[in-house]
This record gives sequence, C-alpha cells and structure tokens, in this order.
Amino acid sequence: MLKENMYKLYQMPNVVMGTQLNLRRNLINHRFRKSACTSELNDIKEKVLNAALELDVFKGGTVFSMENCDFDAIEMFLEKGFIDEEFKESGFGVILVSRNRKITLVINGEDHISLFINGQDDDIFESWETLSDIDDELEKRLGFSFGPKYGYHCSKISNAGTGFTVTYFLHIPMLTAEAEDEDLDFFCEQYKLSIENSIRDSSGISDYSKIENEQKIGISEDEIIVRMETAAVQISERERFLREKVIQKKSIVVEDGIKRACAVLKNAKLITFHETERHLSFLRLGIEAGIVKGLSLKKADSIFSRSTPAYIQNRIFAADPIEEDKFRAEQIQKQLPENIKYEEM
Amino acid sequence: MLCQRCKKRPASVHMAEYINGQQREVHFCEKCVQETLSEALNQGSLSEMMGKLIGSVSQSDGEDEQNKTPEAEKTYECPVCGETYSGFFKNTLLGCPEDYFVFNNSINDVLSNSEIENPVHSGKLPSKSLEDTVNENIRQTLNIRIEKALENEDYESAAQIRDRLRSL
Ligand SMILES: [Zn+2]
Ligand SMILES: [Zn+2]
Repeated sequence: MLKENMYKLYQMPNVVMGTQLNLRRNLINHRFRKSACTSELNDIKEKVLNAALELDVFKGGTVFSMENCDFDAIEMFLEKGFIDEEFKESGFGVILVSRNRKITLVINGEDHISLFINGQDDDIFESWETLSDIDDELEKRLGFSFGPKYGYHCSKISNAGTGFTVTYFLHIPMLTAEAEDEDLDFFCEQYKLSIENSIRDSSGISDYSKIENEQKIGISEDEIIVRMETAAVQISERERFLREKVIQKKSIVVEDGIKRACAVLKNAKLITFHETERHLSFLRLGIEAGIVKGLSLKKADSIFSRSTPAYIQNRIFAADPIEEDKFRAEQIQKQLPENIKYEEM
Repeated sequence: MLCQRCKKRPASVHMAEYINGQQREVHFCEKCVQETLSEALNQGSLSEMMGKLIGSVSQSDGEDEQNKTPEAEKTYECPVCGETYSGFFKNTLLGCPEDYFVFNNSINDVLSNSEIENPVHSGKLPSKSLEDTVNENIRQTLNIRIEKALENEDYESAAQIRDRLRSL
C-alpha cells in the first residue's frame, strides 16, 4: 500500500456514520403501558398528540397511527429502533414525524413519550437543545412524572434519571473483528456504554455498530454528551490504528474485499441486504483509505440506507423476496457512479 | 413510600399539615384513611379524627427508616397499578410512576448493582412547578447548585439559578 494512502486513512477516520438522541418522558398520574387500561392509553394518546401538534416544530408534520398505518412504514420505524413489537400490536401507538423528518415523537411506546432526533454531522449539543426545548413545551402542557431522587420516571428503571440516550452509529470493522474484543470491553467499561453490532462477517472485517450510553442517572445530559463524544473519538482513533495494522498485515484480504465489493455491486442481478451491507462496508474502507475513487462516503451511505428492507419494501410490493433482491440490485447500479475506480495497493 | 400509620402498606394518600405556620407532608395508605374516616362518621367530627390520624404519626416518627428496607418491599403491592416486587424484578419494567416510591430501596439496589455509584438524578429539572414536595426538592437542589456556581466564581450561572428559584 502506498505511504500516501496510509496517510489519507489516518487523516480521514470517518468512522461516525450518524447520531441519534432519545429523550423519554411520562405523564404525571398515568400508568405505564404494561399496566394502563385501554381508555387510559387512549387518553394519553389524545393529550400528547394535541399538545405536540400545537408546537411549531411539528406543524406540517406527518402522523402515523398504528391503527391504520401501512406495513412498510411500521417496518421502517422498527428498523430505526423507534418502536418495538409490542407497539406494533397496540392500537394506541402514534408516531409524529416533523416536516424536516429529523425529529420523531413516539406516543405510547415503552414510555408515554419518546422523542428522537437523528443527524449526520450535526452538533450534538445543538440537537440536545432542540430536544430540550420541545421537552419544555410539552411539559408546560402535560406535566411529567418526576421525583427528586430518580429524576424523570421511566417505565424501565435503567432509563430513569435523565431518560436521555445518545447513540453513535459507527463503522468500526477492525475494532469489532473478534480478535479485538478486549478493546471493546475496555471502552464499554471506561465510558459505561453498550456496543451492538449489526453484522459480523466470517472474515471479521466488515461491520457496522452502534454505541449507546448505559448510564442515565447520576450524570447530567451535558455530561452524557461529552462522555459519548469522547468515547466516539477514542474509538475512532483505535479503529484508525487497527486499520493501519490490518491493512499492512492482511492487505490481500482487504484488497480482495474491496475488489469483490466493486464487482458484485456493479454486476449482481440479485442481492440481499446482508450482502449489500458487507460489500458497502468494504467500499467505505476503500474510500477512506483513498483506494476507491469516484465514490464519496456520503454516496456510499446513501446507497446503504436505500438498500434496507424497509426502504425497498416501501417502493415495491413483492410477494417474492427474489423480486426484492432484483429491485435492490437495480437500484444500487443506478446509484453507483460510472467512473468508480480503485488503485492497486 | 410506606404508610406512616400502619407502616405496612404503601402510602397512596398524601396530605399537608400545618403546625405553627410550617407545612409538613404526611402519607397514608388507602386502608388507613378509610378506617379513620369510618370511625369519624361513627363517633366524632372529621377534623378530630384527622387530628388523631396525624397525631399517630408524630408519636412514632423516626421508626420509619427501619421498615423501609428492600426486604420489606418484597411484600408490597403498588396501590395504583398492582405491581409487585417479583413483577418488576423480572424485567425491571415498572407499572406506574408511583412504583418509584413504593419500591424506592429495591430500585436503588438495582441501579447500584449496575455500577452506578450514586444513583441520584443530577440533570435537567422540570420547569413547571409540580407538587410541593417536588418543588421543595428542586429548591434544595438549586441551592446546592448556586453554592457550587459561586464556589467556581460562575456568577452568570448563579444568577440564572437564582431567577429559577424565584420563579418556583
Ligand atoms: Zn396504613
Ligand atoms: Zn404502580
């Protein structure tokens, strides 16, 4: 591998693919989903929805009611982690998405209120302020259950306190390779966070992961943000270091992965989401290392998000999964630039 | 929170009492309130009975802490949602906000076991005034924060917190 490429890899960590902030709240004098009766759930639904629709941020937004929501939309919400299976079954769940699509309000999930804000290269502190402002406005209208010791009461004990979760979506293939599990344990302990992997390839090289703060009480929202940002930087640096090491030692594996990825994505007639994910992971690695030219990281990530089962199912109604895989392959080839090239390592 | 009369059942009725202009909170279970009320209807005036009910608390104040062990909480049932200790312990999912008071010590144990040294809320506070008890705690928290801000010579924050205190 060229020294120049190595330098670029070091300069372009680009490990962070996106972020998500989540804030949970519950109405005063109302039971949680586990114990609430149907009239209570209906009551909560109406109160929260009416309050939220008064806010500027949700004006012109879209309301998805679980009673009459189409299947594909529900699948998308499930995939994004906004809702759980129980929510899907319940007739009292409502989702409100802001017009700019960045903010999502989930009503009657595990908690009465769950606010999400998703971003890519946004300032997390600014996003938190946005969430906090919405929280203030809703609180004025609804009143939230709060106690001096356990802070904001949540359905799950582990969410009590701030009810605040910061998630980083990371591309850390080297770090999640099985040999490096010790590193991950260290980060989990050091920053009190959890790491979840979306896929683990047999080569152990391609992987998308997310990290989340486990601690929500005894720590302020600002401290959570700082802690998670520090963790993300530390993890990125470790990932960079390992990439250099791995690319040097196993360059043939990496080169094979990248070339295979280009070939398959360009020519496949059928492709599953899992396969797409793995190949795009290699392409990302190649882009970051400066080996793959003509394709930006943004573009690679957009191809990724347009390959998910939810996205595909939103566009075609196929009873046969082969139809889906065919459609996915066609979509990828439409989006992949013509002039995509790779340099010899 | 345990009923201050029988010290067995969780308190679900919260009342304020005034002694020499000072307000104090008292907490009873529904059964105790009902018993007292039916006695009052049979025998004397309501205010007399309420006086007795609250008086019974004053006499036995201080014994509270002993009964509030996680062990004792294993036999409780939440009066609002019916949640039991074994129920919430299974998946740490609670039935209603009141459970945070009913199973106070057990929840503290669960959080401490997950390596959180001091599981006491230290983040954002609600802006709207809630119940008086909560307000009192917010006041205390804000006072501590003012002291800290002054210690750090952060006068701007101190002034902001002071405004917040005044608005409560
Ligand atoms: Zn009692
Ligand atoms: Zn309860």
